[in-house]
Amino acid sequence: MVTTEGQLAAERPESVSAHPDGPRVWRILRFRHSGGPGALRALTQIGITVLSLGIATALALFFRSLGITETSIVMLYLLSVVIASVTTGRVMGIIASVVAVVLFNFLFTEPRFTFVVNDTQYLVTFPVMLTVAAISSELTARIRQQATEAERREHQTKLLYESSRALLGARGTETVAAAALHHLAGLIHRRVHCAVPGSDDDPQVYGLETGKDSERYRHDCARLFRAGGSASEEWIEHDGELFLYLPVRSHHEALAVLIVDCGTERLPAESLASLSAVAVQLALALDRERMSQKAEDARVETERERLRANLLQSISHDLRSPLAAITGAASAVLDGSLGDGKSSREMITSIRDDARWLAGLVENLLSLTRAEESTVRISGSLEVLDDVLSSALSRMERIHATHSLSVDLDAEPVLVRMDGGLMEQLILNLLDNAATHTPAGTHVRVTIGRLDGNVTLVVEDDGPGLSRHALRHAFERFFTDKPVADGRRGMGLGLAICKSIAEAHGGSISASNCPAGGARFEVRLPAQPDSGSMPPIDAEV
Amino acid sequence: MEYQPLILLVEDDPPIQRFIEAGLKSQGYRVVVADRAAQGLSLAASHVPDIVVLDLGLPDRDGAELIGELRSWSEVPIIVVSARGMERSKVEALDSGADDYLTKPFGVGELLARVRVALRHLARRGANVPQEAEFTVGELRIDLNAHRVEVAGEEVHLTPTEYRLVAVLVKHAGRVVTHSVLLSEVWGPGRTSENQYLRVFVANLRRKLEPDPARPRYLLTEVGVGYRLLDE
Repeated sequence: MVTTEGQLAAERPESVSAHPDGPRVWRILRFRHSGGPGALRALTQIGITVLSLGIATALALFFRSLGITETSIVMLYLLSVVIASVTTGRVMGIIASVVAVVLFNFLFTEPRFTFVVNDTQYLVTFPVMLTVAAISSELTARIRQQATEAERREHQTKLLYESSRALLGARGTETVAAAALHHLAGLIHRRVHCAVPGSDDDPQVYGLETGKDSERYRHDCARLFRAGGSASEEWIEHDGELFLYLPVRSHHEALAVLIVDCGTERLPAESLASLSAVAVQLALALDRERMSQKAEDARVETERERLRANLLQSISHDLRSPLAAITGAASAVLDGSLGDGKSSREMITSIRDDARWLAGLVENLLSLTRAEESTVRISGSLEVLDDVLSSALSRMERIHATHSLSVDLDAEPVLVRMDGGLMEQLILNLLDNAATHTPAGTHVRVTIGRLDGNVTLVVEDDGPGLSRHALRHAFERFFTDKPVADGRRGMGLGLAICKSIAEAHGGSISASNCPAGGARFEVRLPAQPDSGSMPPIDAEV
Repeated sequence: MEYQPLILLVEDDPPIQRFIEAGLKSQGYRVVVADRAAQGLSLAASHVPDIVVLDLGLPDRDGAELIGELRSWSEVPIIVVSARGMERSKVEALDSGADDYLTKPFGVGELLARVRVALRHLARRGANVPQEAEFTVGELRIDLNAHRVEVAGEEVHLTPTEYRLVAVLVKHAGRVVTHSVLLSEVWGPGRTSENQYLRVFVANLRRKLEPDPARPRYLLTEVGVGYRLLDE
């Protein structure tokens, strides 16, 4: 049998299972479904038929010269017709049957090289030969067609199985949608998008190459999502192209909508069947996804509740003692029992300090809430870190009074996308931590630098350093290493808040001890790609 | 008798009202108090104060809206008072016409400094005096005629853009200047999106003007709002 590789592949899908590797399968499918170059295929079929009949004729002529009878030659032609119909199809089989009879008549019956027949027995031979050839070619073609159909079904089943497996394994709505789209593309050979309900009645569409058309899809899908459980498939025509919107439903709501770009014609029944099969799988996967999301939300909510309760308890405790001190000091001043002006001045100073401490506590709590709900990386503005540091230093009177402080800035101003207020709070907390946990006279050093595409802010001191226990737990809420001098300035929130803030900015914070002793806290923040480069607008003179 | 400036205080919280009023009166200023925006507006119309101190957290009106209304018929300097963390509302207030702001909690000293700055700007505007050609604070000296900037007697070389920045800050000396005002006055209107360049310019400027750029004495950053060139 002489065929070309492409022809074999295009016409005999057995090769799909024989070569299960991806790209090849894809190429074959494209061949079959795009229809291929039809004229070329017809030519090849004719070629095979001609070749098959030609070989049969040549062999027959050879056998005849050896004196072999006409009965065998008829058999030879029948064989060639069967071969032709196996490799080509029903139509070519019938044509080959007729041609074989005509050739036999022309070349082998007396008188030869005419269509005239002398012997009346050929009036039986020709119709019988034609009928046998036609029937065998018909049967062969039918078997071949059934084999093709079986192969196609097997392939379809295999793809559906693969898609079901991929959907089972996928985690996260986006991955699930991507897996469904990937497998649908292999099954129905149309552009398919998948829309899932988004926030504020604005569905999110997956599978778009660009933003084009997304508005239209979102609009149509939003309507289907609003319809919920009663949403049904819709054919919608846009600019002469037909789109199928197939809602993926579970219970009483639409979990997703599959959008199929059908071009100018409706989908064939088999594609529709594959589509609904995948839709069912997708519904299961999305349902499972939603369940696990709910469970996760519930877990986070419980955790949050627990922290909130802890926080509340700890705050109430911490508010009580400065408030008691303020109340006491104020009443002492009002009583006039303090005598000289110096003592009442001291009392008023302590009232002011306590009030400031309380104000600082409130700032910190507000920062915590903001950092936890924050999407700083998206909403923040570009600020120079030096600016925020200097603003924090100017507010940090306490550390100036008792500690010596030095600051090293990077040679170039460092830009970071941030929430300025939160970043200032982070720096304040680190400085306050250093001031609280080291003896007076300790040197505190703040350094801004760059490392591996990150901006670093380091606060280190030459105090006693951190214990191993403290190194491990420093950033946990309500962790306090040891009671500090005045007994209450250690709620164990400052560093935890630093961590929340650093993470809200896409950065990190770490604690270590300097080689020479003393605690070292390092904050890393993602740098702006072009930070520090001079803007072009200063070129003007 | 010497003229004592009249200050209108619009503040709804009685303890804060009391302490601001006491602080202002200690300097001999005359004070009228309103605890609602509507009352504030009518007092502003009837008393024609020299300065308005306005709390942004009033229960009956949005602060920025009130400032806009006041600005439509009066050029009285407005100092807004608001809590920390409300940077957006401060910027809104400043962009809709307020002159300066104070962040709670603040001390009387800070309040009086802001009032003095406002009175100075008011006096200059009232007398229609052209801006003085020379500006000095600490060791920083800026000669606007000669386009010359000196720190501790040494001339500092600035790029043209840096110089324009300094000139705008000197014009508003003592008061906060928002990012958007600086951008439009230095780079011209329509360049307000190049915010990060402004940050870099100011940071570089600070490296040239300040003895210790990490702890500036003259050119302060108001995080999330703008910059302030101190004048005293």
